Parts: sequence; structure tokens; C-alpha cells
Amino acid sequence: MGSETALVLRKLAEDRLALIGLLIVLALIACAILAPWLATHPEAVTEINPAHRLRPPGGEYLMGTDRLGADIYSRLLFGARITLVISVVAVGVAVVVGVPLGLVAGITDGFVSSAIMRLADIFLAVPQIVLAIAIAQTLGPSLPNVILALSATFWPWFTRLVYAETRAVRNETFIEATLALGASPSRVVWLHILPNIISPIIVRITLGLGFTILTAAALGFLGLGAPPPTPEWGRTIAESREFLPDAWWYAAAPGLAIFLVVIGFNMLGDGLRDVLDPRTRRTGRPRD
Amino acid sequence: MTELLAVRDLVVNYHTQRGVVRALDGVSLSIGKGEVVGLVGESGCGKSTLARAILGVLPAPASEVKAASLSFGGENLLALASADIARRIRGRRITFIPQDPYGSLNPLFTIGQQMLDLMQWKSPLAIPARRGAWPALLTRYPAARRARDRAAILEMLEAVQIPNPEQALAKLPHELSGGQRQRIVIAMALLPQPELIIADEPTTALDVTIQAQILRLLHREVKRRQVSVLFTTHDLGTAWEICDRILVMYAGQEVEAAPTAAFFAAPRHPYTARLLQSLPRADGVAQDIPGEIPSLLSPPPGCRFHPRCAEASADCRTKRPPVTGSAHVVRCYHPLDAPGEAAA
Amino acid sequence: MSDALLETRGLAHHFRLKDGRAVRAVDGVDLAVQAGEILGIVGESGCGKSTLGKTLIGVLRADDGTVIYDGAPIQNLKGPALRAVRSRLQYVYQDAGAALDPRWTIGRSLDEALVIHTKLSRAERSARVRETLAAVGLHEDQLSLYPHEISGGQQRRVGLARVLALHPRVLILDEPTSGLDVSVQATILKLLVALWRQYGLTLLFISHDLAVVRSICTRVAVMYLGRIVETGSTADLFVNPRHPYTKSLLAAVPQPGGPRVIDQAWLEGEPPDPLDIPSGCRFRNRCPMAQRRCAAEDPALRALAPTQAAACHFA
Repeated sequence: MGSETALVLRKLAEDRLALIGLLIVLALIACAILAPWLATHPEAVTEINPAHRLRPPGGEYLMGTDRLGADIYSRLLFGARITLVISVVAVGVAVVVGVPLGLVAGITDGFVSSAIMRLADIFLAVPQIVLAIAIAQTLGPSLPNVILALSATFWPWFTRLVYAETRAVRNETFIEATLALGASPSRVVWLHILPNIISPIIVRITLGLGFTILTAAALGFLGLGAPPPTPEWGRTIAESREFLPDAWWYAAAPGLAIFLVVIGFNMLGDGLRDVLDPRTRRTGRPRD
Repeated sequence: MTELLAVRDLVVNYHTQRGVVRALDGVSLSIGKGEVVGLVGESGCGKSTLARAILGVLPAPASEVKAASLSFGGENLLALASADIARRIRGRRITFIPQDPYGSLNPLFTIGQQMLDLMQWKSPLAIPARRGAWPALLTRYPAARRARDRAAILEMLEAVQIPNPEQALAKLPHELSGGQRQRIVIAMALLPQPELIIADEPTTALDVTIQAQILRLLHREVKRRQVSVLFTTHDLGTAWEICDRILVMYAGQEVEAAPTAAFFAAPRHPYTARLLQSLPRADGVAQDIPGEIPSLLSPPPGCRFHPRCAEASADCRTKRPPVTGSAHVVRCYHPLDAPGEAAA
Repeated sequence: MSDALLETRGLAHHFRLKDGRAVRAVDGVDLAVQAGEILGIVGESGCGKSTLGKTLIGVLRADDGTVIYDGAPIQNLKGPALRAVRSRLQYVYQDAGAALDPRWTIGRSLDEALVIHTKLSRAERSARVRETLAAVGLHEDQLSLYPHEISGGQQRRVGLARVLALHPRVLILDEPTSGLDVSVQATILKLLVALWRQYGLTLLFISHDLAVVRSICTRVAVMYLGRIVETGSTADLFVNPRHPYTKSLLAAVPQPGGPRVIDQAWLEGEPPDPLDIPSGCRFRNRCPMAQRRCAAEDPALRALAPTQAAACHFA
């Protein structure tokens, strides 16, 4: 596995777009972790300073200030934490729920398999944003509820993906051969099927993180995210609307952040898809 | 016998990421009119590359083709523009029978649609489009010719022993058995009335009883029409059944060429002798050939068989052996005795 | 035939289609495999020979009939008892490359068989793997390679090593040489005979290639449309085939240097649709000897000579 990881990283480094995506994602993580040290006005995130409200970028305030006089740059950094927590936890929960369900549906036949897939179909039939709005609205605006809403709408994507991949791998000769050798079904699932479908899952997780950030921002924009004064990016854009077009930086800064992060995850995901595709994977050793 | 196809010293190199694959190393081949020549060899010997080079369908620009001559019916194929070959020669004067008929027939169209489609462009009644004429897809299929082509198709299906030809035309490829699909593909190769058919292992995927039927059918039809055939196969048994002459290749070099009977009676190259000994025998397990087929990325110099050859001498390791013999040709410094060189 | 090591009685496996019809791929097979023999199972594609092999080891469920190994029925075994039988009775797949997990090294795949079936320590397993590797003629360097990095002939050797490490008694070999070049085929056949002697194996050799079967098997069973139509010792069956299908099959095999098959008369036609098997004798539609009786009565396999039996009214 060690040499394979090294190979994946080397091929990723050759793919320029994927590399840019990876750098953006790493930058987001760095911002989130180092926010208290990178921020120029860490205290300003929650404090009100009406004297400095709506200052344009430059000088003391790198990206200007908002309606309460807080430094937008600092708020963005702390917002990165919220963004990352929302997307990672939401996608994580979706993976934990969706992948096992997809595996079970993929390796079984009959009622259990059908029941799981029809349930997933029902969730997929409702537009994701609408379902998320409904959940967030019902449970009230808070960070855990946003995460819950996103997970609840995202798990069926993993179930469907894992189901389809499992079905394909299940019909491979080496699965039958391993069963014929005398291996138990659970051994086959955990040691043979799961490792062979892990690549598309990783790709979907990466693309899903970007997509979840976008959806979380949309919920924040609609006022269904964490309550103020949380420096959530979507909420910041919503707040800025009444000050446009004069305070252009107010909306532009968080908008640009969302744009960059989402495109970063997407480029990384597309790159991973190419790199992890077994059809293009070669270790470069001669055949004989 | 007049010579239809003459290949002299054909060299094909593929340029790949891992280096230059020396697929063909100066191969010569000639096919007379109405002659069935077997191109026999194990995997990686270059038989498919040779067939593709003649058809002019090697993957450009990765492949580099050089030859002293590559002439077909008096025309130098290397000098012709590829559009010209596509228009006048490929599919018209040289046709192809693939190994896997299921893969070469479109699963969405009926047999009749596909055969008429072929005849619209490649029927002997059709006048080859002039250069600069309307794009082929915009020209009409004249109704009178279509009717005559359809009659020719039905006649051909009768010849290849398809039961109920009219009904077969309305069927989709998957509704036919493997043997019947192979008959259809043979019919499609014969319909343009070609001078040469290149058959790429056409019976490999078939069961032994069906293989025998298809071989008999192919042999009867090509002999009746005096069509030449280049028949590639890895199976010496099928080559014995259908070929007039056999050319054996090893790792991109031709090693021996002889009339079929003389070849099987007394092979002269050490490799072909070992190959015949490796056929399964009734009285126990056959002899194998020690060693493995070399990589064409770095083939051994001289005779490419020398690392596995018991007879190999210093010359074999450095220089490629010259051709010796007239009818029974062998490229070896140490050929086995020829009891009846004059027999052919 | 009570001394048989492996025996089937009326064994059947049917593939059910979505429209409710069933393909009777194996349809009432009685077969007795004696310890130490190499029994060839020959027939054309779709005759059910691979399905028979897979039903024997239980990868496919038996719809009817019994499989008896070492005197006891095995098709309803579960848990440790099943595992114990499985380790003695192994199946080697036709496409050896596809039968190995593409993400596992050769070494890990070889080790897996021992992890499943034995309680050996890591060092003992490694020793057993090395010993088997030497037996099949592979090099230890190849343990760290992936299946796609070795040649087709080497993949077959790995497939053999994987099951031989378990020290099985019976190996079912599914088309062990198809798709190989003749020189490699000769090498693999030589290896099989050597392993058969070294490990005291009983081999079921499933193949469509009659020449190969003749060169290696001690006894042969010919299958047609899910049934065994003739059995006999290799010497008797190839020299004096009794069933008309066996005759036509043998007549169609090219023999370089001998009379040409295409110059001779033999049976025309193709096997019938397995969904629509003829009444009575399954071969009667293609049989030159067919009479009215063949449509009415299904011929049973009956002994014609000490080693030979055929399912034909007129054999």
C-alpha cells in the first residue's frame, strides 16, 4: 500500500489542475487551524466597533470591515473553521451511514437490498436544497442542525455509488474465486470488495466536500445556518446585500472564498478520479 | 502462379512511452493469386501487425513503417495516399475477417441493414467515388443497384449456408449463434469480390465442430472464387486444414516459409521443429520450449530465437541469418536437414 | 463405484432467467471420480462442464442430486465441516489473472488461502508459500508483484500455487491451458503432471481441447447439453468412440500431417437452444443415426465395455 500511495501522490503532482486544487484545500485547512494567529483582529470577530463600520479594504483592514465594524479578513479566517467543520462532519456522517448501507444493498439480493435502495431513491427524489431547508427550518437554525440537514440529504449519493460499484465488483472472477477458495463472505466484503471500490468513494468524498460547502453557504444565506454573530460565509453574503453596490468588498470577499474553495475541491476530485482509476494505474514494472 | 501481394523487408516500429517496440524486423511475404497463406506464430510474433500493415490500419503516428516494397496487384501501397487506399483498396480489393464477429457487427442494426450498408459503398457494382466528389454520406443509394445488391447478398448467404437467408436479414447480431455470425462476416468479406482476404484468427473463438464447418466453408468459397487469403492463426491445426503455404513468425521475424505438406513433414528451423513438438500428443505430454518469448522493446540481436535455441552459435547472436532455400525457405544458420527440398 | 473419491448422483444446476425460464446447464449428471486419476471432462461451450465443476465444489448450488466426497454427502455441509472439505477440494479458474485480486500482491494472495484454512503461524505460512512456489516453478521475487505484472503462463502457476498450498486431494481445473500459446501450454501440462505425481492429486480436467485431454487424462467424460453422453478410458474412448457425438467431436479435430478434416463428411448443424432441449436423446437433431425411438426414449448411460459407457440406444 505504501508504494501505491507514493505513486498516487506522484501522479497527482503531474496533474497541474489537481495540484492547484490540492493547494487550495491545504490553504483552507491551514486558515482554519491558524485562524487566531493569521487574523489581524481576532477579537473583532464577535465584537462590535461601529466607529469603523464599512471601511474599504486597505490599511488596517485588509478586506475592509462589515456593518458592525468587524474586520472581514479575520471573520473569513474564522469562517473557514465553520465551513470546514460543517462540510467534514456532514460528509463524514453521510459516508458512515451511506457506505455500509450501499455495501449491504450491493452484496445482498431481495427485500433488504430493495428496501435500502428505494429509501435512497425517495431521498434523492426530493431536491437536496429543498430538503435541507425543510429540515433546518423545522429544527431551527443552528450549526448541528445544518450538519444534520446536509448529512440527511447527502448519504443516498454514497449508497447509490457504493451499491453500483459493489454490484460490479461482486461479479468479478476473483470474488467468486476467493469464495471458492473457502473465504467467508465477511472476509470477501472487507478485504476484497471494499478496497476495490475505495477509489470512487474517495473521489465522491472530495467532490462532496465542495458541494456541501456550497449548500451550507446557501443555507447560511437563507438564514438557516448558525445564528449571528457566527462568521459563516453564506450569512456574511446575506448581510452584505443591503450595502451593495457601495460596500462591494463586503460580499466579494466571502463570495470569492466560497468560489475558490469549491473549485479547489472539484479540481482535486477530478484529478483524483484520473489518478485512482485502475485502468490508467500502472506501477511501471516490466511484465516479465 | 502470379504474385498478388509482395512484401519485402517490412519493418514496423511502435513508438511508445516505454520505448520503441520493434514489432516487425524485416519481414518478407508473398501471396499468389488464389493462394491461401497461413501466417502462424505465438502471441507477440507480429502476425497482427503484418496484417494491419497490409490493410494500412496501423495506428499512426506512433507506428513507423518501412519496407523495400509493399505491392499489391502491381500498386505500391506505401506510395498511395491513405485516403486513396480507403477509397479503392481497403474493403474493396482487400477485405477483412475479424476474430470476433460479435465485436465487429453493430448490435443495434439488423444483419440486412449492415450488409446493405456495406454494399452501398463497397459493392462491385458501385463506382468508386472520385476524389473531391460529394461526401459519401450525402450521395444516394440508387434503387436499381440496391435491388441487385440485395439479390447478391441473398445469394451469398445461401453460399455460406445460412438457413432462411431472408429471415436472417431481419435479425440482430445477438439473435444468431457464434457460428452463424462468423458465416455472416465471411459473407461480408466475400461480397465486394475482393482479390485478397485477410482473416485474423477467424475460428479461434469457435467450438471444434463449428470450426471445422467454417474452415470447410471458407476453403470452398475462396477456392471457387480464386480469392487469395492471408490467414493468421496461432493454431497449427487450423493452418494445416486450410493453408496452401505457411509462414512462421517468431518475435517479429519470419523464420520459415514452406508449402503446408512439406512444412509439417519436415520443418527446417529449430523453432518450428520445437513448436511442432510442443503440440499435444496422443502418447503423453509434449515437449515444451525452455525460456520465454523476448520483449520486443529490447529484442535479442541477430536471430531473435537464439537465446532459446540449442543450436545457437556466435553468428546467430550477432547477425540475422540469410534466407536459404527456394520453395521451402528458412532463415537459420543451422537449418535441420531437408529430405525433399525439391518436393515443392 | 463405492470406492470413488468424489461422486455425483443425478446432479443438476439450473440458471433461472428473469422471464422464469430455466437453462438446465447441468441436468442429471452421474459421475464417479476415482482417487489418483486425471479425469477429463470435455464438451463444447455451453455443454455445462464448468457449471458441473462449480456445482461440485458448491460455488453453485445443486438444484437436484447429491455430491459425495470420501463417502459422505457434502452439499449441505456448513461451518467448519464445510471448510474442512473445501480445503481438500479446490477449483482452479480458467482466467487465472482475473481470479486474483488486482490490488493484492501475489504473495498476499498466496498467503490468504492458508490464513483461511490453517492455523499456521506467519513464519510457517511463509515457508509453505515458498515451498509451493518452488513446486510450480515461480521465483520468490515475484511474491511482491501484482497480477497484471506477470505473464499469462505465470498467472496460471500462481493460481495453482494458491490452491496447492492447502495440500488438497482433488483439483478441478477449468480450461487450464486455454488462451495459452502452444509452447507455454506444453510447459503447463508438464507442470500439471509433475504436481499430480508430487502431491498425489486427483484431477478433474475440464477442457474443450480434445488433443490436450488425450495427452494428459487417464479417463474421459464427454458432455453434451448438461449430460454426460460417454465415459471411458482415454485409450478406449479416443480409439473406439461409441456415442455418435463423441465420434463427430473427434472427427472435427485437425491432425497436422493426417487426413484433412475439411475433406471429410461430418455432422452439420449447431447444438440446439439450451432453453429448448429436444425430447428423448438430446443429440438426435444432429445425429445421423437418429430413429423414432430416440425422440421418445431418453437413453441412459450404459456400460459397453469394461471401461466404457455411452448414452445411446445404438452404441
